[in-house]
Amino acid sequence: MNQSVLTDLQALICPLVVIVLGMIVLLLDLGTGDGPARRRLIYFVSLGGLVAAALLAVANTTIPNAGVGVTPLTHFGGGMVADRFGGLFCIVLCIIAGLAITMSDRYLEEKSLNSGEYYALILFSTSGAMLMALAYDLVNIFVGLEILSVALYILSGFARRERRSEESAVKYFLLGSFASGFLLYGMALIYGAVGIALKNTGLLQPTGTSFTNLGVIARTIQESAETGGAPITASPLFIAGVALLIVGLAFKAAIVPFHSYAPDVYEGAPTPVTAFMSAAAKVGAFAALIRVFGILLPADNASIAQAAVPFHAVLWGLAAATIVVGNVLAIRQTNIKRMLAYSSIAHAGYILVGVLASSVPGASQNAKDAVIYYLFTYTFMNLGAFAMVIWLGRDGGEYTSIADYAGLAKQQPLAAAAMAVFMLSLAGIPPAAGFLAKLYVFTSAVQAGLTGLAVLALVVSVIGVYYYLNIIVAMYFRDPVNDFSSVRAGGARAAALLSAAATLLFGFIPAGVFSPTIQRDQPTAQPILGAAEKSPLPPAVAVVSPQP
Amino acid sequence: MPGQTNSLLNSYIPVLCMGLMALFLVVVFVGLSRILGPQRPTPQKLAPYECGVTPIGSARERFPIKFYLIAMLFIVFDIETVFLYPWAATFRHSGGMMLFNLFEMAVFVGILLVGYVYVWRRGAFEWDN
Amino acid sequence: MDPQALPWLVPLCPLIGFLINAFAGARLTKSPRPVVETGPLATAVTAAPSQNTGPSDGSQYDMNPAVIASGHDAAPHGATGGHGGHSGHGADVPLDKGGLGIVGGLATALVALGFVLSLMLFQAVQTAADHRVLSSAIQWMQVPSVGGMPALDLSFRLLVDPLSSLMLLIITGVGTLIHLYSMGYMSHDKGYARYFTYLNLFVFFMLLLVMGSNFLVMFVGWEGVGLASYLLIGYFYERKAATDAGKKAFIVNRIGDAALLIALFLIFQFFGTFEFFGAGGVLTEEGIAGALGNGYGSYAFIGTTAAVTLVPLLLFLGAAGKSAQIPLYVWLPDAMEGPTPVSALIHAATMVTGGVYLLARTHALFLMSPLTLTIVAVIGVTTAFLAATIALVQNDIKKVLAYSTVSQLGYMFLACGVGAFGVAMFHVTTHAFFKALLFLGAGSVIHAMDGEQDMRRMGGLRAKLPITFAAMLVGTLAISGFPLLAGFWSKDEILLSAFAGPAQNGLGSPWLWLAGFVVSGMTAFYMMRLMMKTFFGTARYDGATANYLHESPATMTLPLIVLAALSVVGGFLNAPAIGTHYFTDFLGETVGERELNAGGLGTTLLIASAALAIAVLGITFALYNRKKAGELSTDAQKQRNLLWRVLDNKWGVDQNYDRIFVRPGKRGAMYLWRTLDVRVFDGIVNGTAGLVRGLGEGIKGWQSGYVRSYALSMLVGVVLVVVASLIGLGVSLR
Repeated sequence: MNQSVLTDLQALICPLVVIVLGMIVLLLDLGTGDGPARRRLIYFVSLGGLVAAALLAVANTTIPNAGVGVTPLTHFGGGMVADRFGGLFCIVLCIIAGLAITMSDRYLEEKSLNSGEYYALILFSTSGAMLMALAYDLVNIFVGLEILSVALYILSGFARRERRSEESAVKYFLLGSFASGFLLYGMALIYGAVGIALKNTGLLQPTGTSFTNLGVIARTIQESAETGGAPITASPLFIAGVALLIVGLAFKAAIVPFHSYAPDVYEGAPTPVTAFMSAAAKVGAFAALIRVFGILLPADNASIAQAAVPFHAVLWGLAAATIVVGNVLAIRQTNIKRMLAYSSIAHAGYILVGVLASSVPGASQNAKDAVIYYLFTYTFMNLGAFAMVIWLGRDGGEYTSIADYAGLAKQQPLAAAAMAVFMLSLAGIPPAAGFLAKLYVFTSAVQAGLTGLAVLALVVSVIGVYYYLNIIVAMYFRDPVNDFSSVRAGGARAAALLSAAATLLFGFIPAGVFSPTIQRDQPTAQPILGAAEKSPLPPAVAVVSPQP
Repeated sequence: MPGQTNSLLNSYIPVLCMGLMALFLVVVFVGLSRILGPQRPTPQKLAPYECGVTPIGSARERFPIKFYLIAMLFIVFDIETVFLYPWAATFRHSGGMMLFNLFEMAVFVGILLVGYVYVWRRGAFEWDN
Repeated sequence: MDPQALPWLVPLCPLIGFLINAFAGARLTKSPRPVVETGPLATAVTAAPSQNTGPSDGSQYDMNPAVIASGHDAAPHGATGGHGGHSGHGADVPLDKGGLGIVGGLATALVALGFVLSLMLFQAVQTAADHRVLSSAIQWMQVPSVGGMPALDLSFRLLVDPLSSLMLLIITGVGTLIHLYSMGYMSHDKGYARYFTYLNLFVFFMLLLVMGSNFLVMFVGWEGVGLASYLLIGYFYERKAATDAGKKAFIVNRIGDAALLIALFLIFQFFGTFEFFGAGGVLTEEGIAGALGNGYGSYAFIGTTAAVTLVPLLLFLGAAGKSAQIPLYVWLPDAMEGPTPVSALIHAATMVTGGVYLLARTHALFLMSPLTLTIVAVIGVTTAFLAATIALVQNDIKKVLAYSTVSQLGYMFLACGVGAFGVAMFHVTTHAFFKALLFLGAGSVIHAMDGEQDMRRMGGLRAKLPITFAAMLVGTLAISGFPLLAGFWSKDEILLSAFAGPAQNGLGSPWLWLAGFVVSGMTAFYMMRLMMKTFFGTARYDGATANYLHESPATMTLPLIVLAALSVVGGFLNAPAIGTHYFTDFLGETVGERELNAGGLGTTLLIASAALAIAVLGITFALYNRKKAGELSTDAQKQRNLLWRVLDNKWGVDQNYDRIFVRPGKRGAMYLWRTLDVRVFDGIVNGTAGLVRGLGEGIKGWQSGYVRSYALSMLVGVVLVVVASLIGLGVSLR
């Protein structure tokens, strides 16, 4: 085996570890021995493996991002890329999977569900999302998406004896296939457009050229723009292709109007699965979306800076609709899982605002930072909120009505406090991390000249405060209706408390724990004072991120 | 480059014509038979054609789920086996990548093997369970 | 040790103590209920008036009805907590002695460790480049530049320079002594763990306040000490007066904090940073030059000559809140509701000097605005005078000290106002010694008297409490400016600065000196009066108290002795008359101009002050020593004296604040609530809610549950997206 194969494997070590871990877990589940001991073994092997995978992914975060002016370190014949961006997403996904598995232990036990298959599916699904983040080829994005999705379809129907779970799986599967079709169709159109362009401009390399490779497409766009002819980005074929790509990924991220499955599926699926998919699918989809937009329609590249413009109105509309619909419908919900489903739709809208801003020249880098920061905090607060539902359930059931949580603070002060942290963070109230996440995204939007959208998002997010605070009001100011003296706790409690701590920590010293700054293409003034002191520039200038 | 795109779409015009023609013919023939032919339905004429045998019961019967399971497993392993052929055909052209390609296939088969072991040990092949 | 890490360790010590005691303290002391959760935070909401609850509720903080009846300022707050319970609550509140030792010992040891680290930093500062030790920075918050505002790039970072190093030594040094003292003082209190939790929290925030390398870290500390102060003032939360006092302190401080916040906004607008030093820092020459280029100088407020007045003025208002200056001093006397060690640490030695620290820290901004400085000096000396007059007639031992503190803080602001920031810091230091000493001494008396605070029920304690008496005598002499003691040197320098002003800055004035001189005399009077009423004359307490009376344990007397020693020698740190100036040398340039332009005048003024102090002390002693027990003037006699009435009424400030601000404020709030809030805002909100709900009802129809309709909506979405993209292409090509 030659050296390049080894580096290839090393670059993709994180998803590979997760996949192998999934297989190991499957095989371990076949082993003999009594049930509880085996369950425990599988549980800790999965968690340990995820920690290892996350640590391995840290190495990737030092590699500069693929993008303008940087020749990406591609692997597997140019189909995959390992860089800081992908590494960060791998870490988020490891956290998501880790939290989801952590909160599942007693839930699965009480429902007597097979834990080996369950953990393996979560791990496979996670690896799919990782592949989406690391893919440098449209086909690989699609493969990653399918690995992610198929596992999710099964997981949402995992409680097969419950009709709601079945229903949710079928709905998710049908609509997901529908969306995958659009995605694939969009890729085919892009393939065609690129092929034509290469043929017409005589740039076509005879062998080894994949029209779906992002690098090839980017180069084609670039050269077709520079050779003076009509650029490929002006071809309707290409535009329609990218539009369909947006549709396919928007479905996974539950963007309105492709969100309709989300509330039903989230409500019906087993709660830890809901927690997992509300984060993992979004993270994967947004990773792919930012990657595709950032490389194909780079905002920072002067010669084709206008390339993303045709999609601005679309993304604007999608983001606005998502934020409004998500928030407005969340108000009506009495079921906490449905409420969180709509809330996660609304958050997808906020993230989309950041994605949109990232396609505008001058705001791109800050917007990407903001999106990654948002996804990190979203992971903790959203999974944490679902973990609360599991924590407070018992005997194989959960309290799903918001009214059920009345008076929780009197019986379980710690649980109520943790829940309050998540709700405040989701509502975007300082000092919880959700506040900074929103702040970063909205500032980047304003920076990108999307003041209208930022204002709309802000105003509508105030509506969100209502339904989040509703839960806090119920917990703290209502008389108890249920007895919370014996609750499930277990791993769900650990996951919830961990998430709450992370949510608060991010809110207090966010950038210190995890710098939202992706390594920039050019060396810039370090944000730390020590470096700023040496800078001859006055501070107001020194800290402005360099933009071409 | 709208001109070039059009030239691409132009090549589809015959296909479009063909489609339109087919649609036209279907409509014309079905319509003509409906207009010209006599319409005298009887219950016998309306009954489903079962090669002359009288139908017994509904065709919508429930099958044991085991059929599906076996069918699915068959498809999975069968399709994966198909993948081995092109690999085998091109393997000798691998040149310096020969060892790598062998390894890749080993990985592929290894993953299949894990799945096989899993369904086997789960008892998916045992009809009587 | 890595010099970048060392500064972090100092605030870490009390933080660890806080965390351990917050989570394990209640368990360690085996308190009958989780006291940590039920602090004044909880009770402030319900604010159940527990003022006159009978003994039936098991509270040991019940007021003694006799005390209530005996006149409006006759120890109106009854027993200070922790002492009422000697007679009976031991049974129902079983406190684990070993646990108490662990909790208190841990808290004390950690602050002591902080002191050791502060000493190390003190060493490090002297050898460091620019005399500054900077910690490593934690990236805190980053907001890109938006709409013309500079980008916000904030680090959590600590800075130790001579100024903060001095404050560190005071906070951790005096803090350790007071922690130690508290172990004895609070040993009977059921909230022992809660007390030390709060106290460590306070020390942590106070350290942040003085160590922040930028305004925002300082502000975190600033608000944090406000919180800790609130919690500790309301420590005896079962007493309504205590919770009220806590709230009063908190609210009055909010006014100052609001001003401080606005100042910070303006600073950010003009300087584009919150950092004190470093490139373009607010307090550096280039930073100020940059701000002036940014329009800072032309930010007209009171005419063009006072162009840079607003920021320092707002900073001063913030400082006036924290340091109890006119018009925001009213909270400090009420803050005496807290346990006495708290009064010593927070409301005498450290937190209330935070305002002086702020002024000294930002003196570069103040020196640009002579108008502001003059306002500071005038307010300072007025506060000193007003508070001293009120202190003349107080009967509550702690109230005398409280007004005395306000008065001394006025001195410090007077010094700042004439540009002698280093002198102000010197007085901060000596004041920390002797005022902490006096408060702890008063605490010792109160402890010995089983919670009695009214001096009219004391007298002749000299023989019973010899150590306390000796220590307090030292403190009294020190604060009065008795020659060669600590207060003598620092106060003399203030008066000298007030007369002449530091080198040619033209800020001094003989009038300021005269006012300060008069206050100095009054200080000697009220302090001697306190001593006489407490320790001399005949005993005026009842028999039960007489039996109870005892000298305090060693944990309490040891800090007294140490502080007394410091009060004696502390002044020699900087006694130009005998040629020592360690203090000035150490602070160096961190507090700006410091050379006095006094010439031969200094000696004259020094002798005048000394003479005044000795004379007033002597006269007072003679005056009170002559009186027999029965000859104390009765209230009725005093009522005939107009001056007494005015002073006893505290110049009517509280009543007038109530009349001018509080009641109209309440009425206004009521009006806003009933009309604006209920009708307008609630209307808007409810209307919006109705609208949103209606909208939701409309959109909800889409969510039918049928996959086919979902697929249809997706399809519609696909068509819309594709068409809109193509239209977008058309538009962008045109």
